[in-house]
Amino acid sequence: MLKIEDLHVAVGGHEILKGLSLEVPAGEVHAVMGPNGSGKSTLSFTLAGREDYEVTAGDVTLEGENLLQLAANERAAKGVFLSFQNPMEIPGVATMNFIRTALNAQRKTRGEEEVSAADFLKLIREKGKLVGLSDEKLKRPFNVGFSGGEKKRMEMLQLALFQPRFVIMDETDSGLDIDALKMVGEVVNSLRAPDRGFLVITHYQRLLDYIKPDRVHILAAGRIVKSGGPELAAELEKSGYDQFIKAA
Amino acid sequence: MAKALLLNPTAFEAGLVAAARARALSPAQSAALEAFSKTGLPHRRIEAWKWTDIRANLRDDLSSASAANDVIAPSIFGGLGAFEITIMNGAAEWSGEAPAGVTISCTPQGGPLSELASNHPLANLAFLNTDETIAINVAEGASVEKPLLIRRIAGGGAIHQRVTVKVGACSKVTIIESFDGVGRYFSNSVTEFSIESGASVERLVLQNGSDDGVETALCAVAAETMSKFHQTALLLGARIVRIESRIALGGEDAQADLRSASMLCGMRHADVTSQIDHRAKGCTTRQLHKSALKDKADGVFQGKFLVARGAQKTDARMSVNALLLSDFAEARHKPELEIYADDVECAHGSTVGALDDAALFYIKSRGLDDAAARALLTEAFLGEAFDAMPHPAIERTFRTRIARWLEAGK
Ligand SMILES: Nc1ncnc2c1ncn2[C@@H]1O[C@H](COP(=O)(O)OP(=O)(O)OP(=O)(O)O)[C@@H](O)[C@H]1O
Ligand SMILES: [Mg+2]
Repeated sequence: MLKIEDLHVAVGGHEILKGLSLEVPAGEVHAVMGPNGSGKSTLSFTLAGREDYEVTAGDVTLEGENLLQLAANERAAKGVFLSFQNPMEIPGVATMNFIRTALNAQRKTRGEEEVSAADFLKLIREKGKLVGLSDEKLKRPFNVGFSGGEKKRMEMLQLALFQPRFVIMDETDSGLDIDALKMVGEVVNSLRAPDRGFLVITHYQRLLDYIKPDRVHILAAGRIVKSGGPELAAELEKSGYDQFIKAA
Repeated sequence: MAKALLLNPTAFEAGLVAAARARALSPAQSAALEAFSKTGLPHRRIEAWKWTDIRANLRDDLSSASAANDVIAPSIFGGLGAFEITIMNGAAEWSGEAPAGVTISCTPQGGPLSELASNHPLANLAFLNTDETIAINVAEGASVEKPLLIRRIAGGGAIHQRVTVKVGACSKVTIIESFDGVGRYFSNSVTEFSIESGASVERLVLQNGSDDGVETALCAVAAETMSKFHQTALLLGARIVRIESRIALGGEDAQADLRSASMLCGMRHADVTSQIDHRAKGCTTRQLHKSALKDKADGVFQGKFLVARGAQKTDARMSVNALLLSDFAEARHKPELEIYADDVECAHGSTVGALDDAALFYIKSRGLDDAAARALLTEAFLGEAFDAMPHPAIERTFRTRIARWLEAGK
């Protein structure tokens, strides 16, 4: 489904990703683990289409279509969704209004009809309940004054609402309490489908207890240095990254 | 008889003076003419006008005054059911009866300028050129629900116009002033408020001139004990615009709340200048100015808080933020505090910046295209000046106007 080949990415003139290759077949969940600063967020921003991340070499395709030539909003319309490691606060922009505008923009780009205000209200309330965000929170300016955990819940709300085809989760589990972690597991598991793929970036085995990955990749110094089954995450938890970095 | 004439008047200034001299002037107007003859039009070598040079932008090439009704769209405040006074090229017109508690009259010439307006060169010019002053009187204790809308439309020529508003003790009134124009004109107005104790005034300003228009509007306010003056202004600019407020909080616990936003494109220039004199104990001032500047637009803000020796417990805060939406746009801010009392809380802050790339990317990653993402953030930025206005329908009108500008660029 998602195919990354020999990807090189520079940020601010520094090469961060140095020949990264990775493939996530449709229907699978792949986990990416790696030390701080190894390039995990760089990978997720690049996949989502951040303009100041310069792709100097390599290819990324989603179901055979070149992603790199699409603008961020076009990727969103194609069903690429990034759950941000640090979601933004957007003062002055009402949450419901923003998410509805976003949903309808995606639909419009796809040539689908807009969702009516009434249908949307029902939809967002239902998803709010699912991720544990009250109506009162949904009426506030987007993420303003939200706790770290609440912001992550807002990312999960959008995931549940947009129903994207390919999901990148950048440390969604960091800063979450146990109940929220379970909720994230439930949202992801309910969305697992033969035509949907997930790339789950995390530092901890904990999240992977809820979301069983099909494959685990270790990202170090801008490359995938090892891939394996779910047991690789457990192994990392025990002995750390050293052996893999040295071996690479 | 004008003595001590300006040393090197421009043709336009000489024309202004000659036209005034040909009129029958009251003694007060003659004095104003003499004052104007000495100073001429404000220009960049005068500190308060260094960024807004009126003299340099006024030549003898104004279009001849024509009724602009057919080219000016109906007021966007039309839906509010306001009582409307239309001032076309300086001539006022209204029909029907003023709302209960309000009397409106035209007085020839009008009394002398109020203290705060009297040493302003353009107020003097307006005063000496005005045949009729519109005098609005709000009765003591009246709570006027219906807004009063003063629609100024300029269709060419040099237009001078004066309104006085006397607001009786403990009354409440909402006054909207809109400024529209077409062609090459110079529109110069002065509005003077005298607000008695406990009264509350909501003043709203919407300015949208033409690319060739020059517009100056002074508002002078004398506010008594426990009165409130709230002002919200939205400016779309013109060739040169200056919306100026001079406010004296002369009675204890008086309050001023000034909010403004400029959204400018092309070569437009808008200047928001204010001076608030805190003359009595316990007065409160809040001021917020925002500007979003596209293309080669020029946004000026000059704000001064003056706190007199006896004005203890003054609480005054000013904040000004500019958003540059192009590399060629320019924002110039001059916040000033001049404080002669020791037990006061005064603060000001000024920022100039661009849209936040990280926020833009977040919004685009959710499906909005670049233009829509920028518009969303710009709208949110400007919108802060219109948060929680007392009159929700007026707030909606302003927000609609902002959205239209973001969509259509004008
Ligand atoms: N604008 C920039 N200029 C130079 N270096 C940058 C820039 N932005 C990021 N980097 C560097 O890129 C490297 C990779 O950062 P990235 O955020 O992708 O790491 P990460 O794997 O997500 O780390 P973490 O686990 O802490 O989230 C870091 O060393 C970071 O300092
Ligand atoms: Mg990261």
